[in-house]
Amino acid sequence: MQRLSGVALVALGSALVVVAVNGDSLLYVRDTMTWPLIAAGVVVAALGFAGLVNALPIHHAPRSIVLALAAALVVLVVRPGPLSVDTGFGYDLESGKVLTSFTIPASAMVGPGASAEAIDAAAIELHAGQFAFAVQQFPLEFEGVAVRMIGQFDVVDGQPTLVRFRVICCASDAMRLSVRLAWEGETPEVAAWVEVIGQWDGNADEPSMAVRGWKEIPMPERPYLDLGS
Amino acid sequence: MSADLQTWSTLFTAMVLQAMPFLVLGVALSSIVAVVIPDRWWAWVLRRHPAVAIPAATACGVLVPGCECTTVPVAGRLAERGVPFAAALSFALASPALNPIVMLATAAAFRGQPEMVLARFLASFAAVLVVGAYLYALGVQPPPRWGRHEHDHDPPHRRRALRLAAAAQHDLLHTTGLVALGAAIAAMVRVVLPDGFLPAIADNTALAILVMAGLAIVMALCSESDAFIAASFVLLPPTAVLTFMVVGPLVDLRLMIMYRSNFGTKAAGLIGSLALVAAVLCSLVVGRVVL
Repeated sequence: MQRLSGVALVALGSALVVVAVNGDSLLYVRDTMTWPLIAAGVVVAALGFAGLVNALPIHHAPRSIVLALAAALVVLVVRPGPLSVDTGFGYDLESGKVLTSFTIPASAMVGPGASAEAIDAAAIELHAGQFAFAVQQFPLEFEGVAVRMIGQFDVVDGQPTLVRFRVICCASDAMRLSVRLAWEGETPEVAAWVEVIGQWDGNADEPSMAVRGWKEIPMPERPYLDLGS
Repeated sequence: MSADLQTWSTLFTAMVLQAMPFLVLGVALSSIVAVVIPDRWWAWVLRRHPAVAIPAATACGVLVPGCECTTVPVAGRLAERGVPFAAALSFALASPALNPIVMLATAAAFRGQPEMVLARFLASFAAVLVVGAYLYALGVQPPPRWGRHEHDHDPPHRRRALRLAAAAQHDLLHTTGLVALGAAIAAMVRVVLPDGFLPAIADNTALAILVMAGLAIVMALCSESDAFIAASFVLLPPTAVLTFMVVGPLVDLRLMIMYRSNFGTKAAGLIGSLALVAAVLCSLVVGRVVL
């Protein structure tokens, strides 16, 4: 049991360091946790190593250490992916309730009904919270703005939707931040990561983004939105 | 991998990763306290009239980081040395519930919600005072046959650094496993609960509070990491989330076992029930005022 305790701590400490260094931690926690994870991992592994080489006696190794070993194995071996729209997890967050602060450059004002090329060239990247905020707060100006958004494609009650999980602390408090899409033509598969360009469709009651172009993209390095609060 | 298993493993991993740095920090500090501060200092501070000693013990808990593994046996040891039992236990309850690491972790988990940190502090402080005062009023004294903690077994000649590392390793072994267990249960709760369950009880604050108090007892989380799991219950009323964080450090399944092994069955039952009632009531009052 003593040796198992040392192995468990070394494995867990190594797991913390590995996921922090290779960037996998961003699938579960915010980027501000990277250095704390490395520091914690080094301490945990060092204490485990000290137990392994009998530098520190372990009086009574608790049975619960098996769970710590299991945690290390999940992190190191299973390496679960990030939350995804196809797992059915997550409560919808009313996008308009997300406090947000941003400015829209004049260059993004291409006017209503602009061509896809003009929108692509001038688009400002927004998330669903900013989109909803702009619709509510300055609809007249926003109607002609070229917008680029990144997220997972989903279909909710038959309505194409772009979803991005927003986290405050880590994936366990994730909520779905979504925007309806006015979409014509072929659609990607549900849960595909896409970049869409377009403009607000002008409907203030049920705002949608009129999609003028889209492409599938790899999952971003930071799949979750970190909006600060 | 099924969708539920995928979600469970992601949530489990997230909770463990988020908690570990705070856990290590807390374990390191509590080990320093256990090794560096001698028992006689606590006895000197707390061996006074209970009217002074109970608030003083609670205040000591605010300043001194300690996990339950450390503080419950310390309470028994202090009482053996003449400190009023109510004061000794107040310290044991206050340290894991109110220490700076716990407050730091709560602030990190509830970013942008400083009122939650304040509410946790006030409700926990009040609950510890209530439990201490009641124990004193009832004249509770545990039988003189308390168990001893591993930390006590270190021979006096052992080098301090080695003792410190050994204490840290011991606490880490205990608490890491418990955090993993708590994260596993919390992730399962999130996955297994029907989609409509949390929104349904969210509308009934009393029910939500009772459910969260029960979860805190069953999950038996470490106080340095429970805020991260509490923060995952985003749809519940803030007072219910507060109750989860106030109840857990004072009474849960793991603590009940420790209370029983250190103070006997009768005292453990009394402490557990008192702590539960005080924690829920204080959370209700503070939650109503602050949140």
